[in-house]
Amino acid sequence: MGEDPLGLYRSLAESSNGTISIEGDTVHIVVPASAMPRIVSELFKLGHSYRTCVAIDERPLNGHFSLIHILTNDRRGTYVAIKAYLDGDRPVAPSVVGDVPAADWCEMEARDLVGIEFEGRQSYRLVLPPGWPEGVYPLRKDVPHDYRPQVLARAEAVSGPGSVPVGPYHPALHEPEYFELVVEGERVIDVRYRGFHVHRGIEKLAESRMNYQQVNFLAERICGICGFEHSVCYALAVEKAAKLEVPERAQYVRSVVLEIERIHSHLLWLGVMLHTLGYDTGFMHAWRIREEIMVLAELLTGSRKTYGINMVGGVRRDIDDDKKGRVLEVLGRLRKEFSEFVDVALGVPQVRRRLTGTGVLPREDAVKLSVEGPVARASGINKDARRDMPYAAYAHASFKVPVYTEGDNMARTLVRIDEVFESISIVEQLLDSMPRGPIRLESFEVPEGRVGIQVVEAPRGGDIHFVMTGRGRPYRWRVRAPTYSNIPALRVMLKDQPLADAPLTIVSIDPCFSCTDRMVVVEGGGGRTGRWYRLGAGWM
Amino acid sequence: MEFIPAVFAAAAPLIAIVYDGLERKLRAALQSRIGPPLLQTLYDVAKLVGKSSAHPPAARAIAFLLSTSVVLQAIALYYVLSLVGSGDLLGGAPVVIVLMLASQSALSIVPFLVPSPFAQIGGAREVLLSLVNETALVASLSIFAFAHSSTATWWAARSLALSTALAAIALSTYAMGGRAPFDLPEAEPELASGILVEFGGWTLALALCANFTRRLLLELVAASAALLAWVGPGPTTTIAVLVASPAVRALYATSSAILGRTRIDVGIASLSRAYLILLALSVAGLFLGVLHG
Repeated sequence: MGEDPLGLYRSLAESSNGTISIEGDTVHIVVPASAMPRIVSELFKLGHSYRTCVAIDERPLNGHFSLIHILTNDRRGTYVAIKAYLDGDRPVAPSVVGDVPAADWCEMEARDLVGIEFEGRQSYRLVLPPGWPEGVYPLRKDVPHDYRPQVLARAEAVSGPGSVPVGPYHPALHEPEYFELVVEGERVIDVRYRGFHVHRGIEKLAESRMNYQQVNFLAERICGICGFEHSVCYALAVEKAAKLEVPERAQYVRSVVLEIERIHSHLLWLGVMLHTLGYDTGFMHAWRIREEIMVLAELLTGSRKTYGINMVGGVRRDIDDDKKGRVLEVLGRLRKEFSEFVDVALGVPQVRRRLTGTGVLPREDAVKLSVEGPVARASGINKDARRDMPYAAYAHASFKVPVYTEGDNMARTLVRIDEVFESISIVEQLLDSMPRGPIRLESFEVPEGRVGIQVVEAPRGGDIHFVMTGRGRPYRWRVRAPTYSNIPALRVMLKDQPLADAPLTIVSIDPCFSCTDRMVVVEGGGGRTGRWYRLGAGWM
Repeated sequence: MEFIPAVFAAAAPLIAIVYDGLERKLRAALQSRIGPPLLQTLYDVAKLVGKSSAHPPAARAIAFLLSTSVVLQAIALYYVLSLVGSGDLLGGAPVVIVLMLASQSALSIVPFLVPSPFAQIGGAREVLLSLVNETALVASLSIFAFAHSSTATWWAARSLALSTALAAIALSTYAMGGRAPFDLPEAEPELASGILVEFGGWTLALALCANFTRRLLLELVAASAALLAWVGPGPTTTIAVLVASPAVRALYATSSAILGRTRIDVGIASLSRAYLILLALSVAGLFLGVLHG
């Protein structure tokens, strides 16, 4: 990429008869819909990360729908939002999937939930359940949040000969999702995936019934493991949109709790991974070590999980000197204990042998699919939002971003192990340099019609929240969790792998399906199909 | 003293269940946990027997095979303990081998009567492992019986044959017990409990009973071989075997607790290599002992 990215964005906008505006770290480009594929494709090829797209029903505001593709320039710490307005009666947009495969799911989600048709691609139903009535798009403003269609429950066998169903209920999976592994003997030759079993209509709920502060608590319930980062991401997006100056001490508290959450999440994952490998002793010890972090979280926030301390404008709980001392004492002990545990666990021959060389995700596929977090860093992509687009108090901490190039299950394990040590270091630094002052704004206003986009580096990768402010509540709130980007990569990771390694590889991306809720059917040979398997529906 | 093998064999399923409780307690200690009560497995089996739940379509055939397996294992246990007392290894070992193979065959058929891909895959893994392990167990027991009964005077050759045969017996009895790294037929996170996936209620209780009894039998075989090699046959050796069997259980349980699960292709290859080396050495020792006279 050239030295003057702003110049590049300006020329892309102007060459498409569009407009450009800059708000803080976000570049807003508005162009005709026909120009979107070219611009998105060019930025993607120049190394921008494709994050997500957002479809908005703006008809009450201006009579149009809109579609926004969001990319980030990780090297410059810039968000780039490319927006097009679409016809209010029949919204149609050209697809960008040809050059940016990572946009596949979000386009289909926009189609399902807002009713935008995409040209130049094969479309299929993604989010909505079978039996959902045609022409009813839940995220449109004329569809009430309590709309409940008549859906007939019916069951249908989805497995044929040679298929091994993994899910929706399976010991290797901790949330309902479904992988259909087509096998020859013990080798996986094809993978079909469907999700969305826990789609809860969170965005609609927030846009319809809640005020800005209430959405914090809803956001934290998107996920039971990494809920706080969702809450922080949402709050930061609103604060960015409203240009709020949040007290610095509050940002420090947020960052400390975010890292505590990362440590707990990675330890949880490590235990689950070892259990999947049949090494239950490792699982028990990982969770025993994790228990100290849970107690620490309760000390700092009042809850072991789902902390409930985040607000727009700050936090609800402070960290005093007593708590600070206790945190440092526990983390010092944990560092030593975790180090010993890792040496033992990775020394078990079966653990080492089964993780090494399995579930490989080559770098070029990782880039094409815009994977996130440890999955990306294990495949050689040096990307971390805490360093690239510092938020909260991360600009005041010095830390390494672990990157491995093998792209196998071992690499993903080592990235997370290294991140635990880095998180401990970050917490120690932040506690040492925490400034005095208030922990939240006493009063503030959130003007209407503003946009805030924020990426927070969750334990699983970059989580992105988009907020368009409305009157007293978000007009549009879009959440794209990191697992959403990582699941499509499983098709690459699972093909030609032994069946025994399939659950291990699925676990290796640390999937969080509560965050994700999506479905795709992928055929062998790289093609895609819109076939829809009907399962018993008890959706709404 | 003659009644001890009979009583033990008759109570084998119950003793096997209690041994599993011991194993769970030991595993908990290794994992820094308190663990369930010693009799928890007994409570679990009792609860399962009392539960009404769905069963595979061929539940009766499965029940017959599992029960047959338990009975055959109990009879084999009787013979093992009797052999330890009498010392007639060459005469008794074939009987033990046939009984063990028959009970294992009955167990191996069961997963294929369950219409679930997980059970079928688990069953296939069970068969593959059995082919390797049973061959090794039969060979090593036979070599052990010959070496033990041999009148060869070359101590070193006899020791080589006995010790390597004993090592092969230990490895095969461990692997056949379905413990890590060879807990592949069940492989809960991979195969959603594999061979046990469609069992519930009394079918699951019976399947667990069969597995626990098999483990007890295998450990007694290993303990018997070890003590026979060391102290020789006799009534007191029979008692010693019964006393030593919890120690064998503790050893096997500890090993499985500190290992992960292998993959079927890797597991078979590793076992095959190990058996080839051990059996080659034991045959060599036997041969040298015979040659030496």
